[in-house]
Order: sequence, then C-alpha cells, then structure tokens
Amino acid sequence: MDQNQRWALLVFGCLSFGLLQAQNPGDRLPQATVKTPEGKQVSTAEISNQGKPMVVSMWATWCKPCIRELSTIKDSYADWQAETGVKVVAISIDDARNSAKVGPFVQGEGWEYEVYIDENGDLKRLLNVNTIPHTFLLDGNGNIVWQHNGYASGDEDILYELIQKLSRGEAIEIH
Amino acid sequence: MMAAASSLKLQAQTPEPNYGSLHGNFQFDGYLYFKDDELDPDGSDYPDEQFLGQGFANLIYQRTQSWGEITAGLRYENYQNPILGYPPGFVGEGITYRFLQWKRDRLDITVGNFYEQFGSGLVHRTYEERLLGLDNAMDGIRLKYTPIDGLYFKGILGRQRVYFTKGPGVVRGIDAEVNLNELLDSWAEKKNRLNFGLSFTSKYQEANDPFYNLPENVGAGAARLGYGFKGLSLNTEWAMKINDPSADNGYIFKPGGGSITTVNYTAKGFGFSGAYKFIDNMSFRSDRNAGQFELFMNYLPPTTKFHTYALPSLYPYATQINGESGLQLEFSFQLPKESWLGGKRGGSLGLNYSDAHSIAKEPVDAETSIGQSGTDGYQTQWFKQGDIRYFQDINVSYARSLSKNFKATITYFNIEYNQGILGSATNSGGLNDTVILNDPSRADMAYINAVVFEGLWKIKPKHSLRFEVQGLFTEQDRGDIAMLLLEYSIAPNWFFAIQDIWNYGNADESRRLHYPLLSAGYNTGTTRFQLNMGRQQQGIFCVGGICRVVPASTSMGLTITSTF
Amino acid sequence: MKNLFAPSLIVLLLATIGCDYIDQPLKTGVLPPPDTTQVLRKALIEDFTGHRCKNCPKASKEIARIDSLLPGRSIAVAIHAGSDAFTAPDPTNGYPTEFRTPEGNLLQQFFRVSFQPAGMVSRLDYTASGVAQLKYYTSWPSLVSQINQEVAELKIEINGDYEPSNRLLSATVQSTLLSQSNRDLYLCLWLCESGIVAPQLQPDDTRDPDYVHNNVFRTSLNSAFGQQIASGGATGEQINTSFSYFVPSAYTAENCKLVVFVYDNATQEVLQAEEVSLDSL
Repeated sequence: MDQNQRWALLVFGCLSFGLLQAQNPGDRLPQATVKTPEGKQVSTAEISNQGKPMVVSMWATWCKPCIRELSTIKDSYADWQAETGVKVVAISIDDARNSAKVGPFVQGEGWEYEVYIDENGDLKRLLNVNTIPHTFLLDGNGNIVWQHNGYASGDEDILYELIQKLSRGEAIEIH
Repeated sequence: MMAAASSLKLQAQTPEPNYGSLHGNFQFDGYLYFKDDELDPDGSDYPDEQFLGQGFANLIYQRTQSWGEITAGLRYENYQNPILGYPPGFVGEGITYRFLQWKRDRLDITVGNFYEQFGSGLVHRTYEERLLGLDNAMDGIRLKYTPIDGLYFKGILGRQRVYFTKGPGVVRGIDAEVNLNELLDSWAEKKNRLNFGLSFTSKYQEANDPFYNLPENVGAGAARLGYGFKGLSLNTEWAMKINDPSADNGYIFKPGGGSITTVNYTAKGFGFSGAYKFIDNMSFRSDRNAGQFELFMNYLPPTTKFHTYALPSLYPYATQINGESGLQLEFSFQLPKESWLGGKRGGSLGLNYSDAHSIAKEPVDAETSIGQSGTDGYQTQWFKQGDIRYFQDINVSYARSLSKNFKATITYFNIEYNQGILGSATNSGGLNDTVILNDPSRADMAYINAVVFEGLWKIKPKHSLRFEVQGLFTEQDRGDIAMLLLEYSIAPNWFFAIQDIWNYGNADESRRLHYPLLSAGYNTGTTRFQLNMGRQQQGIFCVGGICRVVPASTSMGLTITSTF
Repeated sequence: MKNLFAPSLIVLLLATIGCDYIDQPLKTGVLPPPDTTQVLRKALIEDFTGHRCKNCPKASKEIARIDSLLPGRSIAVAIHAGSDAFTAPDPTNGYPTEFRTPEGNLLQQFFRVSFQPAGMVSRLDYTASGVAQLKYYTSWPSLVSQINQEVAELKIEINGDYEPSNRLLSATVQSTLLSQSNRDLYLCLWLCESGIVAPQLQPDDTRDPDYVHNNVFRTSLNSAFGQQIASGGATGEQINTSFSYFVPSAYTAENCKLVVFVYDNATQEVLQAEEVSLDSL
C-alpha cells in the first residue's frame, strides 16, 4: 500500500471510530441528481412524502425480480395509499442503453409510482447498493429505517406490515 | 395513546450533535474449481490456483452542515486471483477509489475519483459495471455549477483508472445543459418540454511513434436536443471526433462521428420506444494502445434488448465501435383486467424488434485498401448502411395471471446472429467487414428460435415456487439447448434452486452435456449468502431475486454481499 | 459578478483545450541513425504469441516493420506460451507443431499474460498488481523509440564461437557498467530460432500452412529467470559470463540466434539487450 492509501485508511479509521461512539439521529436519502423520464433534473432532496412513509425501490428494466416486486405491489398500491398514504418511488438504474425506454415500459406495466432514472449510478453508489432489487423504507421524517435486498414472493407483505407500523407512529427495528 | 406519547417524547428531546453518517457495502465471491473431464478434456481452463476469490468494500461518509454537504468515500478491492471470466488484468489488491466531495448552494466540487456522464455518453462516460469488470473512473477534479435553475455546467479534468494504475492520457471536458422549462418563466407552465446541451472532451497523450505523426490532443464534441409534448418525447445527440489513430481502428486518421436518436410515445397502458443509431469510428480511449474494456472515454449503447434469460442471453449483441448502424422498436401494452388477452387480473404484452448492420465503407482512393494504417482508412456517408447484417432480434412476450396464485410469462425469440463478427462458442469472431464482403459465407450466420415459459406459483403465504422452461433451437453453433429451473423461496430469508441445462442438439456428440446446478441462499435483508454448486454454463444466472453474470466452470461458489 | 466566475472559468478551460489535426499521417524522411558516440540502449521485445492465435500475425508483422525501419535498435523474441487454445498443438486441425517450452510457460505465469497477442518492451512498468507491463503491439514502435533515446546503463558484448561439426556453442558475455549502479542484476541467455515453416492461423480465420515463424524462443541456457551477475557496482566494472552449450539437433543452428539481456530483479526492467546469430560466430 502506498502513502496515499495509508493516509486514506487512517482518516477513515478515525472517522469510523468517532462515529461508532456517536448516535446517528437518522440517515436521510443521500443527495444526488436524478432525472425524470421526461428529462428534467431533480435533486433527491426534493423527493418526499409530506410526513408520510415512503418506499424507495432501486430497479431496472432488465431486472426481472425488480419488475416482479413492483408489479406485485401495483395490485395493492391503491389500498396501501388509502390506508397509510405511503408513496412508492421507483428509481431505475438503467443506463443510456435502456433509460429512454423507462417511460414507455412503466406505462406498459401500468405502474402509478413516481419514477426517476439514476443513469450513471450516482445515487446507487451513495446508497451502497450492490445488486438490485434493493428497497428502502423511509419514515415520515425522511429517515431510512429499513432496507431489503432481493425479492421473493411474500416480501411485499412484510414491507406493508412495516409501512403500517410507521403510519401508526410505531418504531421499527433498524435493519 | 402510546403512539401520541412516543411522538411527544421524540419532540421533547434536545437535538443530538451531527457527526454525519458512515455507510458502506462489501461483496466477496469465491469459487473452488473442480477438474471436469467432460467439460474441459485437456484441463486447459482449469485454474492452477484451484480456488479463486475476489472482493471489494465501499465506505461512504456524509455530513450535512449549514455550510454545505460533505461526502467522502473509498473502495478497497482484492483479487487473489480474479475468478474465471473476469478480466485478468484485475490481479492484486489496493485502494482503487477515493474521493472528497463538497456541495453547497449551486456549486458541487469533487476531488479524487468520480464517475460522470455527458448527455447519453457519446463523448464522455465514466462508469462501473462491476460484474463485467469495467471501471474507467476519472481521478482528478470535477466542478458542477448551476448558476440559475435550468442551466447546468460541468467541467472535468484528470486521468482514468485502468486496473490498479492510471492511463497515460489526460482527459478534460466541459458540458453545458439548458432546460428551458426551468430556465424561462414563460416556459414553466408550457406543455412543451425542451432541453438542449453541448459537450466537448479531449485527451492528451504523448506520442513518439517513429513511423506516424500521431495527434497528441484529440477532441470530440457533441450536441443534444430533447423535446417533449404530452406523451411524445424525442431525444437526439450528435457527436464528432477528430482524427484518433488507435489500436481499435488500426491506426487510421479518419475523423469519427455518431448519432443516436430516440422517440418515445406513451399513453395510459401503452408505451412505444424507438431508437436509431449510426456510429462511425467512435472508439475513444484515453490510451490509443488500450484494448478490451480498458480506458473507454465514452459509451456507445447497444440498440438491442438486453436479455436476462439464460438461453437467449447466449447470443448477446455488443456495439461494434468501429462502425455500425442500429435500429430498435419496442412496444409495451398493458392488458386491462377482464379483457380477452388480459384475463381476470390483467397482464402485459411486449414486442421488440432490433437490427444492427455494418456501415457502408468506400476506399479512399484506388491504391489504398479499406482500413489501411497510416491513411484515412475509408470514406462513409452519414446514415448509409452497409451490406452486412450483424444482428437481428424479434421478440414477443406475453404475461398474465392464470389464477389468483399463478402468474405466467411466455416469450418467443427469433435471433439472427453474425458469428464471424460477434463470436460464439464455435467461432472466435472478430472478422473484418472486408473479409465478409468478399465471402459472405464467412459471416457464419446463426439462425435461432427460442421460447421461454416462466411461471410463479404462490403455494401459501411466504412460500412460492418459480420455474422456467427454456428451449433454444438452431442448426448452427452449439445446436439445440433445453433448460429447466426450479426455484423455491421462503420469504423473507431463504431460497433454494435447482437448474439443468442440456445441450442435446450439439453436432459434436462429446459436447452434448448436462449442466446441473444447485443453489441455496440466506438473506437477512441487508446481507445475503449464496452457495452454488455444479456445472455453470457461461451466461446470466438469475436466482433468488438477483441476476449475475457467470463463466462456464465446474465449481462450488460462495457469494456474500452486504450493505451497512 | 459572482455568477460569472464559474462560467468564465469554464470558458478559460475551453480556450486551453486544443486539437491536433494531422495532415501528414506518415513521417517523411529517413530516421537519423543512432548516435554512435553513445552506447545505444536496445529494447527487448517479448511477444507472447501462438500458432492458433489469429491476431498474432499482426504483432509479428509489427516486429518485422520495426526491424526494417529501425534496424539494430531492438531484439525480438516470440514466446509461444499462454492459453492452450492459442498455443497447444492441434494435429487434427492441421497445427501439429509444439512451440511451447517450460521456460516460456514460467515467464507467461510470472508476467500474468492472459490474452494474445501481448508483449513486453524491456519489461517496462512491471508492478505487483495489474498488468501494466503488457503492451499492445501498436505501442511497440513508440516504446522502442523511447528506450533508444535513454542513456544505456550497461554495455553487452558477446565473443564466442559456434562449431557446426559438433554443434558446440561457446561464448563469453562481457557486461560492462557504464555508470554507478546499485541494482540487483540478472543475466539471461536465450536461444531463438527463425525460419521455422509451420501453420499459423491468420486474422481472416484461414490457416496458412507455409507461414514462416521467426525469433521463436526455444530454450534458456540458464533457466527462465537467468542468473545473478552482480548486486550493484562501480562505473566501468565488467562482469564476464562464460558458457558452452550443445545446440540440439532439432534446431537448425544456422537460423538460430543467441539473445542476451540484463535486467534489474527488483523492477524487472531490462537494462540492455544484445543478440548474435550463430552463423556469424
């Protein structure tokens, strides 16, 4: 390891030690710039649900499990919204090969979510997402309180139980 | 009462000191390989190390204060040695990515490593495709400035990463984007959407070739325009690059050009996406002598559909950076509930057509052959297609629920694949257009029909069985292949899968092999452990909610991935 | 005013980015001969190749070009080692020759050669991680040129004799330090054969049965990684290495050459290289 690397590791070592001593008030969605399917640039700081719980799901048009998850939620979305006011934000990590198809794809699937495109993976890297689907649950204050990687049929029911808890003001075990 | 009391309690607390947040992720892939005489009779693919493992860990620190937001991060990578199929240049270990970023008001400054994209990436895109082993991160400075809403400027300067070192070329670039709806008050409420952008990048690489006068500064520029009205949107980007003799294009001095245009139309329950691409000599690397996935400065997206099912993905298309023209048309329909095709619960229908052709090349003059080094190489005209078909893909997919607990998708693929150019299991590919124009049989076209039937059966709450039956039928290359996959998941933690691929139609009887594979995984939500055992065929493997690219081998593999 | 700072910075940046339009791709005029008052540092080109590697003839062509346009400035060796798909014999498909050698395989493993054609020029840029030492053949002319312009740290002279009647090659290699050195120096003695007619796969996927293979690495006289000759020394210090070797009858001795080079064991960099053909001895 050269000087640069040793220095970087030292700085990080100190930072992480310091942080382990501290209590974090909560982690918000990192600030990055994403695009709408119409090409408008939006800062993730502006994505919120006015004090109600929010689900942020990282997906892509080529990721079959992601599509399964979002299609399954679609069937119950109206009920979820009526009961808890939750909003699902689906952020696609499709790059320039497929990003133009995100809009038509979402229409073809009939999804009613708020959709954004993270074309070069900036938000994906800040969220430390390795593989998709990766779903985050945010409480009314915009703090990430739960996250899950992968999808199996039935995961959406577990997600909904947690959303209901949040809307009732109960705390969730931080994952 | 309890809820009210606890929320009151939260409000009554004094604000805690803000130390920022530290998060990260890590992944480890390890494979223990076994000698397999059927798969690999002379043992030439069997690694001497027997066990190959690689991993990485990312750490990101973020802190928001009144004076702005600071983000710092680093990544450590270790390849001892890279797993089969991974670019072999990734051997060793070290910290390959570190950066410091400061955002305040309208200014965003990054020093260290960063990834950036201008427009659709025709003249600049640095990104990571971890599963492929592509990482051309910039190491330098990036400045992003938004003086007013709707006007975005970016400037970059640095060198790119190649494995564990830096490329020799210095890369610099600027990009400006204007979004009229955000910029002008008169446009804010308009139903029309308009944005446009301009980018320019260039590289400097020392040249002391004794035979050629090589350009040390090579620049490329691009202009893009996006227009939308209600459900219609149009995006187009045009790029030009000056003379850039390189190993990719055989040291020709012709300028390069490229254009990508996409048209989308969406309405409730319907989506159409069309793309047309023309690329001529647009390979752009920060080292003129680099190859494989090294040091790309730009990104030329393939205008074909990315297939993740194991058998159709055996014939993927990769952009021919030295010249191609491609077209793609994709339709998506939502089938409403209670309709004839949609059934009781509705479904979806998808249609896709993609085509890639060569570009028309004429010799520069009577004495020079096409592609001759040290000359302009050839002449082309914008949008003039050549005579060689590289790829054609027609798919139809139909998905619907057959009952409350059973959902199925059936997809049909018809693929025409030019093995001489693109390469396959039986043809190493990489031929020149000229060879095929002289003798069309050298294209060794493969004509493929494939069908995939996928079903998901919810047996009881939290227990589900997913299965895939795939068949690929062709008279060329490896012949007919069949596949069966069964995946049983117990939400939220477990999954088990068994899969077999049988190449029953191979012309070579000794290659009519079975590729059985067992997998199991445990997922805690943020950490997953996956164990694979068996014979893996080269291709994409989607199990347990995740898709990965794996090479052919007989092995026992362990993957651990975690986000914290 | 504040708002104009960044845009003007960007305009400034724009002004400094240039573009080199080339009107004359080929350099005209004859290259000046190397300066005979100084000892020329010659480059060693190690080309990892294979008879079933279709792009490898391009690298061999590059070596021939460098040799004809820059004579006497480099020494080329073609090492057949790497993936079996490229280097192993395949008699059923018309590639019967075995070009691989144990030393070649050791070199390939050490330098992590995993694709072909791949080459090293005086083993520049070798590090423990990554593959920076492997250079694509289009960069070889520039690298040879670059090395030629550097001051040689070492001079190699070969004096010897080859006796065809008993196939005995005996020689003394004199390595003279031209400047103070604290490097760990290793000397390699390699035997290479040219003029071997055997099939080779061509870039258009056809088999050329009468291809002439040149500079083929046959064996090392002192193991794959050579022998240590010094660990530093003063200017003018001379190390003599003598040897004698019976050239196997399988090789056509008149087409063989002895390649001698000295490298630094810490960085692997080849400091000087020399060659002499057996029929000139």
